[in-house]
Amino acid sequence: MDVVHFPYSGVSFAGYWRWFLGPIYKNILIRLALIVILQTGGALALEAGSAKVEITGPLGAPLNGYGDRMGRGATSVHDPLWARALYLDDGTTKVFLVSTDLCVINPELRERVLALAPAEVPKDNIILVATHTHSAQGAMIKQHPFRFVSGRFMPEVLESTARGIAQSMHEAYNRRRRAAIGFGTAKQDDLSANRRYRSGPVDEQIGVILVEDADGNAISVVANFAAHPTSVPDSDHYTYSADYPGFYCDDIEKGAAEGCVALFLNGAEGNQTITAPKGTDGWERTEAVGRLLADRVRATANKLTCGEATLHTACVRPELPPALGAAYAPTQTFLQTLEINDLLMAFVPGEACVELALELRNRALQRGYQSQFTVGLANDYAMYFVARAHYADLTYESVCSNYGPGMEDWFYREFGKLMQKGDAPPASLTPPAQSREIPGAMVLRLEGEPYALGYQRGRHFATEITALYQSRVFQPLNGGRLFPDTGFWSYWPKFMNPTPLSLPVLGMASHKWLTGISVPLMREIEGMAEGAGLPFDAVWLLQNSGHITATQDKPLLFQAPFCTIFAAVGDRAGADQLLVGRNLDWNEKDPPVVTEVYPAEGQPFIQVGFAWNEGLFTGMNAAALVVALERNPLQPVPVRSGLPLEFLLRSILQDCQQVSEAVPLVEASPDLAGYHVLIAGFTEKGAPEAVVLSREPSTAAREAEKGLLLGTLPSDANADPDTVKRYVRVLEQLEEERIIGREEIERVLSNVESSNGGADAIWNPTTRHSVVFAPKQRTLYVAFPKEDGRPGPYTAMTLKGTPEHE
Amino acid sequence: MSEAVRTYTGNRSAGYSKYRRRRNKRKGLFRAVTALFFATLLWSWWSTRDVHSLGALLPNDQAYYLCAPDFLQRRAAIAESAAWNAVPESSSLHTIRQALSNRFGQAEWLVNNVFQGPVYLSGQDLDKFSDVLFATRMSRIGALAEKAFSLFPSVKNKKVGEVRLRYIESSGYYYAVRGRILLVSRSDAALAGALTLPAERMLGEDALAALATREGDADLVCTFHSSGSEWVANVVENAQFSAQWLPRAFRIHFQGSPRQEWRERLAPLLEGVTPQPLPAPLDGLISVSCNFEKTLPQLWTGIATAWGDSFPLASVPDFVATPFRKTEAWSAFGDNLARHLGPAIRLTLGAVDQNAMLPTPEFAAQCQLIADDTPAWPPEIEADPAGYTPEDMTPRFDKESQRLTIPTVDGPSLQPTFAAYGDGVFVSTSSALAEAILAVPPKEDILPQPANLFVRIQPHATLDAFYNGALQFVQLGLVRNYDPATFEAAVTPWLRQCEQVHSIVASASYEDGTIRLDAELSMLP
Repeated sequence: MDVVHFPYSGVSFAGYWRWFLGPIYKNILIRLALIVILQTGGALALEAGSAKVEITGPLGAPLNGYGDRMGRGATSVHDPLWARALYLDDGTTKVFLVSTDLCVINPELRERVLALAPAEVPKDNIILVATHTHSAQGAMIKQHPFRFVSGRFMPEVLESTARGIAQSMHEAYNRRRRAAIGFGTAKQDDLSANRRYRSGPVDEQIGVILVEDADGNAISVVANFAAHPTSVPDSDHYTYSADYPGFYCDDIEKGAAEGCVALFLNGAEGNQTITAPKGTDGWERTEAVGRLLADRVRATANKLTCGEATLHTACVRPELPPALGAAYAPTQTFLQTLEINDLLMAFVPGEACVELALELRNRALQRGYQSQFTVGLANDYAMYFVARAHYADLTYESVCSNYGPGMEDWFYREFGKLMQKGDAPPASLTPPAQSREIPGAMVLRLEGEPYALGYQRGRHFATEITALYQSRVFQPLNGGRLFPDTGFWSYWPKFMNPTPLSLPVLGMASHKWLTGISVPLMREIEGMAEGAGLPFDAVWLLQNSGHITATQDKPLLFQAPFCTIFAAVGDRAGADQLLVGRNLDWNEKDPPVVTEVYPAEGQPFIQVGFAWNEGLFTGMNAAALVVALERNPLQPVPVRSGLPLEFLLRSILQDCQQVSEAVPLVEASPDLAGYHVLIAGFTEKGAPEAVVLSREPSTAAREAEKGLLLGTLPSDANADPDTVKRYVRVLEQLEEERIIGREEIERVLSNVESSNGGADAIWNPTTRHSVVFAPKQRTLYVAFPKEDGRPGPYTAMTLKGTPEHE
Repeated sequence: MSEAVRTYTGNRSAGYSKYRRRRNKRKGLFRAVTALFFATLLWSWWSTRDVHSLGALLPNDQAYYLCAPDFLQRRAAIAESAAWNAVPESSSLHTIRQALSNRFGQAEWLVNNVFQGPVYLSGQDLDKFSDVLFATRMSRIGALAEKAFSLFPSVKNKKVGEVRLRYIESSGYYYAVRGRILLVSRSDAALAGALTLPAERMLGEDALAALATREGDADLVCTFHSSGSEWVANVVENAQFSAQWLPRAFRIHFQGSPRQEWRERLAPLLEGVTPQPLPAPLDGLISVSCNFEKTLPQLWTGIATAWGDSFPLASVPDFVATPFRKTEAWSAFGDNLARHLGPAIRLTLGAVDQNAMLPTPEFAAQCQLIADDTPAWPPEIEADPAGYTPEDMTPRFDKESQRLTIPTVDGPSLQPTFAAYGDGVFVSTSSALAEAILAVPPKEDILPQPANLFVRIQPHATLDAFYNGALQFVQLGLVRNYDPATFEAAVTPWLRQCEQVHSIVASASYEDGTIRLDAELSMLP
């Protein structure tokens, strides 16, 4: 147990007075000087008072916390619910810390309580906290769709609850008396566990605050412990109960002097739950955790020494990051901190997952605080705050997180601003991307950390990305084109518009395609979203829009003949040793963009594609590794289970140097069916190599024959007829060439010959770019369609960087 | 007077003769004027004789005939009726009221002389009313005034075939006068046709008199015939309706016979039905009292057949039936109860619960019980056995309150409640509404007029309830093309309009193949 001694006296408050009133003749001057010092700090007159008032709702009122209750009313009371208030006044700062046996503090409740609260305390110094019991009255939330969890809105329940809470504050204020305070921490010692990941992090700390009066009697014992109060047995699903915090409070209050009020402040309980001590179950488990918690808190409190304190409160009403659920997700919230000497208490308006609390604590300690408590469910409810690393997981917490993975940084940043000690880290400024024109396209140079890469791109193409989001995600959804024809969404009458609900649902569902994404890539998408001014989920839906559309059997992006790729390898490529040609066929007429990426870590690389990540299937890195992809239109678009293939190729470009490193990554992709991926480069010894990987039906790696490697073999029985015709033409034009040079490849790629109006042409009406890679020179030659759709001139671009094999 | 001596010079006889000549001339002029006067008088009398039959100028094959029997006397009263306040200000109907109240912009004497008897409107086009033929009998002065009016330059003569019509350029109307009969139409063909009717197409005086036959003191009587408009022709034949404006109300009466196809569709509902004494409806936003001499299942089948294939509730929805399928005892009770509900049924939309998880309409019904073999009430089924969870939708019977409830989801507005009440069974979708209604003794009143269906609507309260419910969806962006501001702007004028309306009541009955409907819109004092 880690006990923090009160810094001023080192003795209890009562002892302090006995010491002070001792023989006056002893060291009188020294004591007077001490008074002056203490008074200078303004901390000589701590007053405190506490009270509790029952707020159990009426039978029949709906309980909050579980949607499966469907608003059904409470049928019985297992144990009463209370509002417990602690009033603190250091002579300068007056604070109310109020813990309520409720599930959340919703805006309607806070507003009403503030209206009824004692006027002596500034509204911003009133801290309302819910213990998060899932067995307390709902009925106080007016806003949809939260009524589906909290039940019908009952103004009378809101009023009686608010009056009870306010009454506890009035009584606490009226009972104020001279007081001293101390704080410390204990280890919770196996009372809680991570409910989402077996070996996931747990907040081991119990925060304890003891407030005593002049006689050394406890006015209040405050515990801060992180775990969901969801332990009420299923058989009592409609029963009022304060859950384990009720047992904690009961235990403390019964064991303390009369009038002592135990406050329970839940912590970052987002992904924390209680354990089952000694195999207990049902109510026994609930009670065991409550009482064991009380034991640990009591043991800590007994060792605390109390004294005077300086209080400091701070609050901010920051804008939340943009969210898809604009109709119901708040855009602004309320953050609050309370500092008691060197203790920092951070009050979170929702359910923070433990990773955030642990990191916030680290940061607070680094800035000079002795202790830090994170208190959840305070003042407002912005749902879950999830760590970036878990945003991609399809867990309850991640789908209930509206504000994207960047919420984690927002959390540290906003609380950092409220801390008095130390300095908040300076905000980093991302320089804008540099761009230049080449014939037919724009070249964008990106540089820096992953977030900066994304931000530069998002900022540069904000207009385009927003327009794309509108046209490919929002409008199709709004027009009903992305809805399934059956089930819930099919029951909506025409005059109603389900988009405000379906959009965030679709956003949540899209998290599954983040599975396996690396943190740097996640950061890059965050940067892109922020640069474009869109919610993360919006940008991610845009990334997946083609996939969503295609898998609804309403193909938008995948109806074109898809690409031509081939490589000349070894002597067949002459002095270049390796040349790769590719035409990308893409049904959308997106403006072409070449992106040079110089990441802080990994290989610099160059990609040819569009403003947006989608369709980035052509690239080469500084290690001379080339990747290109084509799709077989005959194969149905598979339901993707992981990251978009653009990100797979992107990872290869950034992280791999040889073909042998890239092949396992492609083979491991669960979503390769229907695609051919060409990877070409040089071995460590400088030998050229190229393979085409496909999974039709099993994964196969095909190598060059006679120095020529085609994306699709004309003899492939699974290939569609147009693709076969294209590759027959490629073969016809190249097979007679003993050495295939760059000019020959350009000529082949520019071939517009067609027997059916264009679909079987190598350069066809949907060709968006044509590239010849000369990896040995780190050079690529890119051409884009002219206004009439015919091939434009090839422009040479060289990638800067030092390949290791040379 | 001057005393000056007058001296006459010249030829005396000549002077005399001159005097005489002047006097004779004056006499001649006087005679001429007098003659002209009498001639004009004679011409006026002659030309304005009431020699034409109005029945001969109206075709007998019009799709509709509208007659205002006391137009002149009732004109001001109609214009002053508060019922007009129920019509939105933007409606073109207000032009009629304006025209009535400002005498069509004409002098009072002129209006009084143009509209001397009943006014008739008729035509073929019931969709666009493009061929309305207006006919009235003028007074002699009115007829003369027309003759003077026809001299105005804005009135042109126009020939249609062999018929000469007058055309008022400024308004686009054609008119013609035969004796004292004034015929007006926007359609020259319709007007010319009326003036050249062969004898077999003339309506005739008897039929004309029948058009003006009315129930009570109707201000307007309208008769529809089978041709003319698809929507009328497809549903009813020989339809008649009349309307009456009262100082604070507007009444209509309608009667007609369903056409063959509809008669067949309505047969399960209406066959053998006669007007019945109806019990006074339950209080509510929209209240219905009906008696089709059928049990509830039979009535339901009748409605479903009449509605056609698109009837949304052709079978009892699962969420209604399932609770009674939980146990055999409840199933038997539910089936037996349903079979015995009727024939007098009262249904009301009591309120819309705005605080439910979603805005929820609350309905209540009071059904008579057919006496034979009625299900026992209270139901002899185990009362709320231990072990039922709140999610279990098995019906519960509370012996103390003698009420049967079915727990569903959400709060009281979705808690079906049954109780014995009056001469039958009370059913409500909402326990809160049930509580309010069952707290007062059942209404035993019988409505004054026997009928098969009675409906009463409180327009303002109803619209307000649905507006507030819909607004919750609008605020979430779930209603296309509306945000809260535009939605409020769209609904507020209607709310304001309805504020002055006390109620709309309607009763309908069926007998001998004829449907009769009476409706009244009452305004608040």
